[in-house]
Amino acid sequence: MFEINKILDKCLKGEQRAQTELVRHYAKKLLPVCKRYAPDDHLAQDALQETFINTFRYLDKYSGKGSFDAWIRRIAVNCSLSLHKKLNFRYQQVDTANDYILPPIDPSIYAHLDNEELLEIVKQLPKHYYMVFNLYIIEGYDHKEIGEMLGIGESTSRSNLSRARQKLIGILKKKQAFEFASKIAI
Amino acid sequence: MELNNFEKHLKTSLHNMEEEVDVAKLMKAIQPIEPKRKKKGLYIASVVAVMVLLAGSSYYLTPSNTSTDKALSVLTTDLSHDQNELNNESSEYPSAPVKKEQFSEQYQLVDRNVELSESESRNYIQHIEQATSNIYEIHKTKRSVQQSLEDSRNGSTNFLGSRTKTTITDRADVSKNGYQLAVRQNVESTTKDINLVQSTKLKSLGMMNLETESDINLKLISPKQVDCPTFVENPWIFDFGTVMGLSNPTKSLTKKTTEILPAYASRATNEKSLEGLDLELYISAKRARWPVFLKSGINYSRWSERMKIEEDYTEIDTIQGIISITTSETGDTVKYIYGDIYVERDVQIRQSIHYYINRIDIPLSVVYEKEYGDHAFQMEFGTRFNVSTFARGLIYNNQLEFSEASSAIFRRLTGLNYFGKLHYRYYLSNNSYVGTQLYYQYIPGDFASNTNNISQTYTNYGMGFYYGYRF
Repeated sequence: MFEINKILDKCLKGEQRAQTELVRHYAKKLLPVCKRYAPDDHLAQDALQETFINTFRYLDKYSGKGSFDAWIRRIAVNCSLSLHKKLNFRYQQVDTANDYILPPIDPSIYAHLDNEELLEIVKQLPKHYYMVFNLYIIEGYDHKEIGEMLGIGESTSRSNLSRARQKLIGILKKKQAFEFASKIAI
Repeated sequence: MELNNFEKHLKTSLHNMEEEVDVAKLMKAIQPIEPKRKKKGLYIASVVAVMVLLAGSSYYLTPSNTSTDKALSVLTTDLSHDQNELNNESSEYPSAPVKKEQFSEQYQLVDRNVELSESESRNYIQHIEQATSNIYEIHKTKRSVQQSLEDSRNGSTNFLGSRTKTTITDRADVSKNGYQLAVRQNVESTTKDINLVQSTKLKSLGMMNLETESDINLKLISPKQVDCPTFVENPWIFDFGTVMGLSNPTKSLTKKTTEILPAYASRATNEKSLEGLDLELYISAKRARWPVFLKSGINYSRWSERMKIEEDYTEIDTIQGIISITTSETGDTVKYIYGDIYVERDVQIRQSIHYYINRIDIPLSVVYEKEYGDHAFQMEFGTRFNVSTFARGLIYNNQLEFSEASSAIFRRLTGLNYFGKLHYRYYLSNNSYVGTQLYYQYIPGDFASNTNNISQTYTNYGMGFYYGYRF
């Protein structure tokens, strides 16, 4: 059984077996996270590697008060995002933060999709919207945290999320229309 | 169905998504990474080891006469001292920042000065292998020296002397030409991607051992680039805020002597305490997660006293005047009759005279806090050190008239007083909050000076509103 506190204690003592155990437990969970935020899948591998290097390096900073899952996940997100910084990706500032009335979406469009396909839909969003959308919706960070991670303001994060939602509706509607047309054609 | 459902579906599907990873490969890539330890000894041992290596390399880098050797010395210094730095720009990490200009500058110098023939090149290739194996040995030796230093600290025998000499000898044996060729090859590659070629070559020649690989990894992810969440809370939380409140001071007057004091009865009857004004600046220091903390600050309060005189009376006055004048029939005699004339006048006095007591206190209190999300309740008990009391205005005195409320009537200091407060606060954000407080204050000290025979003490209760900042 995976007991995180014991594993962490051993990792702090530098026990390689515990480190391996930790990597084995979290790598499979963190790779999808890295893939979501890294510029590409190849760099996601690097980000995952960096995540564990950082984890072991700064393990003594983890006080045990918060969830270790959240801690290491945050490192993974930060490592992945830092790759964008290296590539000089800049987040766009959206001037207004309007509230949009969201039209209904037929759940049959996405209900049958697997994770990869779902991710492909989200990846159609522009990068700056994609990041904020993922961090807010999937990871559950608030706008303040997102702002800190991406180096943007809270209001920018809000407006990007709003725009991302609007774009996503467009994407889903297109998909809906396409599927409808396909059925008619058949 | 709305987009919210799609978002929930996404979160459910993707948040816990898992993917198979080659753990062995990953472990190999990140090993040997150990958590940063706060051991000064290791740090000192590393510094000593580096110094030993530097000393060895300086021996090896004794200046030569030819321009080629000078160039080599520059080059070899770079290689011997900063091999890790060179390697860190590894091709395995194409996203890593590349210092091409730096490399170009260093190697162009060599390129100008070093001209190699084909036969020399073949020799150099042989030297490369020898050199790289020596470097590998140097790394091993460096690690052994570090280990030996640690051992020696623990009381074992000192291993440093003999092995250090070996290290220096090894370095001296490393062919300069070997380095030269290796570098030259890299120079040729700078136009493409010097880092890629160099690290690949180094790795293929065995120069990149596990230690250097891990160094690369660590340098790529410097703390500046990645914000690593610590989850370590600030052990101390400070509050800073301002309070504004109203109070209702309740005065108590008592005679200090048995003499008849004309002002006492009148003041006791007619002098009334009005509302008070409270202003406070506070700061508190709270240990994270501790419910109890200390609070202090500075408090200013101003209380008003009103002497309201309402009197109705008839003022009687007597004057002397001509009451009647009579004249005789013949007109030769005139009689004037003088007498007292009583005059009655109704008088109404409606007068309000105020004086104000100003106080400056330094509070010191203990607070118990209980938080419920954005809401918090506090109980506070403490004492205030009075640092100044002064009065302004007119006060009724024993001569039954109003005089200046001066230090002759009131003390300048009233000593300690005690208070208790109940707070409710609401956090507007992580740092700022607003709150309200109810408080009761007991002031045992007499406000009246020693020369004033009417003792004056207070209790006070009130409420306040505050805005604070927590950091």
